[in-house]
Amino acid sequence: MRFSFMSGGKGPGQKIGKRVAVIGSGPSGLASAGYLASKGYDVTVYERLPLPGGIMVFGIPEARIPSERILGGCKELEEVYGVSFRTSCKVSANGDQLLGDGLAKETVELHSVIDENDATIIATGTWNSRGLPAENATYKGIYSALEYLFRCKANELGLIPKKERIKLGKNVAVIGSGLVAVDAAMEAADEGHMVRLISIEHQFDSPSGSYEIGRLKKRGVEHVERTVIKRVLGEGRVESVETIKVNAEVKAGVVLKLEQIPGTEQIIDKVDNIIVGIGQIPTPPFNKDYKEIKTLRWGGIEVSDRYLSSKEKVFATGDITTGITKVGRAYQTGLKTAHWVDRYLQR
Amino acid sequence: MTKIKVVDMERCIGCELCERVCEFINTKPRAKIRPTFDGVLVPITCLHCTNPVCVDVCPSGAIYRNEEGVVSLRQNRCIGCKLCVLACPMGIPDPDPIRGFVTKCDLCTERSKDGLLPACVELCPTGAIEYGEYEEVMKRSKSRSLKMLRDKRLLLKKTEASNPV
Repeated sequence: MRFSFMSGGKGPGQKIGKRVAVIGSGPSGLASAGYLASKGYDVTVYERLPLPGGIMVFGIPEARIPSERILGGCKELEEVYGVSFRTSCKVSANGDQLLGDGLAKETVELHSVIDENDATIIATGTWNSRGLPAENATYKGIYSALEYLFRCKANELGLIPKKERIKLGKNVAVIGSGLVAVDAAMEAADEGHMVRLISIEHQFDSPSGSYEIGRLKKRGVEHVERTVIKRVLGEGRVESVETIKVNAEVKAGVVLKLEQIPGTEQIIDKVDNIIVGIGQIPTPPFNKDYKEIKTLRWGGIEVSDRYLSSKEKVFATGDITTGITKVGRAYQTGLKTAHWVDRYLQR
Repeated sequence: MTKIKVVDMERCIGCELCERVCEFINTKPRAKIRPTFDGVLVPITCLHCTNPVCVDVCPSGAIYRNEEGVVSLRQNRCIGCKLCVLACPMGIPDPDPIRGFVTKCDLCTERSKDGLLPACVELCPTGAIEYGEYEEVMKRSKSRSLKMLRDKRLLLKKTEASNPV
């Protein structure tokens, strides 16, 4: 990928002498970095993981997006356009502990980054997973789909040892039918587990599309549709689950109405692990007590239509402003933000 | 010197990046990701036909095919009759009722003047969009499909060996 595709092939161009910091190097962060670097800004990209790419490298399996293409694009940005990548460096203002923070080697304060640069773009994305809405959801053996995929991919890239991979039992239940859940189910099926995909949606109205579910079925995954988990059974550890059928109205992958049907409870025996992939929550680099940047009720950062947040010089982009989307939409918001940052700094 | 653009559906993941980048450059996307009946997400865009119907049918000569094989449109000549939309087998040309002309993919003509690839080709995260000289692309895709065939045959042999009938 050439993130600097707007440069017109003329190289980095004349340096303007203004500094921009990009926090997070997912699709939207790299889009902003590439756009601004090709306009001649000095761009610094902060990334808490050892490699840039964010979800594209650490969340999406290698079979979908080859990571060498993303890393090659980052390398071109670094060598030709002079973007400095500060990997393994977490920017935080008492922010929450996130998945993979053990790989970060240093921590930088958020306000020092904002003070040092002429503009700061927050593109930290959605790295927290939504918990299982059922009784006893804190039992051992329940993992989020993102964590499972992250540990698999980080091990494949040689960043964590093999013992830190999540070891699943023989029978695995995957909750959800979005792309994250489908990827996790595929990964688990490839490892040789017996996988059940439990979701509210039918195959034909699932948010990931019926083709993906069909592919899973061909792989030997059992799809239990119009079902939610009511209770997790066991003694401190998952042993079986109690499910209940639901009446649901689903349109374009969004559940509009949900109604449990009493009397259709069923117990699925022998479930060793549950992987939950039912959505992700935005993770801004600060905690709830940080009042300078306004957040919305669902956790995202409030931005104007020029992607400027409530604090001066601070922009926000990507999934943190829109909620979880596809790679393309995140990339487009990154480009739009970079366009407005360019206009903002040339006033 | 004909250049072609092909989408390798084996590698396309339907991430919408081509559509969104095209929208950023051209304000209206000229490549659109739509689900088929089976639920596969397919990028639908101009195929740059060898014998384009839209060129034959255009009354004002706005659509033309140049020597590189790119079918593009002169916006100042377009009268907005939308005959090309009806004639196109995929319904690709996108009428713009406010500005009064049709827009369609021209493989980023302005970028190719600087010797650059089209934006969607450069930014596809999986490298599914192949673009280049006709023979070169054909050679690459043929070698890839042969490799796929070989892998499948190897897999078949392996499964047959592990569970004999």
